[in-house]
Amino acid sequence: MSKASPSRYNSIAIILHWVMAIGFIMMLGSGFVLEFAELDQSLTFKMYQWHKSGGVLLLLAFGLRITWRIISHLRNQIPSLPQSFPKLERIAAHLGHFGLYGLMIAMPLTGWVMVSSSPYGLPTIVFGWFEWPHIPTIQGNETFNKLSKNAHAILAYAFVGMILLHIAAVIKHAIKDNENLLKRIWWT
Amino acid sequence: MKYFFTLLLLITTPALAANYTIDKEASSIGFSGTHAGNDFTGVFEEWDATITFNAEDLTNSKITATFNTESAKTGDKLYDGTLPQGSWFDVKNHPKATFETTSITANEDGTYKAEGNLTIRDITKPISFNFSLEGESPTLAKTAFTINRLDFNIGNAADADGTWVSTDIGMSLNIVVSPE
Repeated sequence: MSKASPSRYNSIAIILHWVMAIGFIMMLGSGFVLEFAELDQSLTFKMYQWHKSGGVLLLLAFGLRITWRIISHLRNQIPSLPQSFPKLERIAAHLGHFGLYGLMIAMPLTGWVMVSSSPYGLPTIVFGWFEWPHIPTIQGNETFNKLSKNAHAILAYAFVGMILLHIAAVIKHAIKDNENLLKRIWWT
Repeated sequence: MKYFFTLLLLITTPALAANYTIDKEASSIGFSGTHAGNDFTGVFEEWDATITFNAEDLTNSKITATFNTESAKTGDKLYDGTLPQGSWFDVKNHPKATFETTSITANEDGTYKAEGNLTIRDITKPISFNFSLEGESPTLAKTAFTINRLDFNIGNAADADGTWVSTDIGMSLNIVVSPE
């Protein structure tokens, strides 16, 4: 007999979810500020370096998260969606989560291509701690730089949209279906 | 007749310009500029020069110098990681920069004017600067002048209008020499 599905995610999954949520919100915030705000040039430069450093940490965190997700799945530690969910909503929820995972990897990857192909050639030194290597052979490649910049920007908007949908779904289920989904991703 | 030849020899032999040895420990070749509104300074850690100089025989005086571009250091990890890149010194393809005087002349104020060719990234441009000599032995040769990095294709692909890195780069040379 297989073990019953747990009512919440395990602690490591919960920590990774919330830490990465805060991380990505900070990254999106700083990304939009860098794109649209007119800041002091020295601060702009520093923010770029923080943004790059944050991206590396989130890329590493994603690797950890996906690995932990697979381990949790194999150990049957992923809570099932509530029984009350109609089929369409189950599909939408899975698609939404899949999309969020896709964006969580696509954002840092396109950023990595951006800094690697940048004509500036600035190294990525993660919070002054260690140097993250650039993708070889593409430094100064205008095509890669342009494509990755556009992709990074478009994906950022998509990410904001997906996060809002993610939150809206939680609110909708709480209000309309009286189902507090936050319990699945917190220690309750 | 013997006196005539001695006299002729004295007249036709140019005054010999002396070679100088350089005290590298006491010397420095620095550069400076601004990036994102902040000043930065750096030095070339590896360079070599030959100096043949005689104030009485400037025609035969000459300075040549070679700089190892990879040895340009600012002490900032970000800058030091950037300078060797393709857009900047491109050290893989251009590991050396050179300077050679074409003329040295005396200024009225006791300083000297050096004119010569500076080659960086295989681009040679004429430059000139004034330098002073302080002390006898050792002598401190000092100069400070400005070059435009765009003349040498330094950072043109990355920052051609100087938005981030100033196009004017100050050079500051303090060379301690002693006659051989």
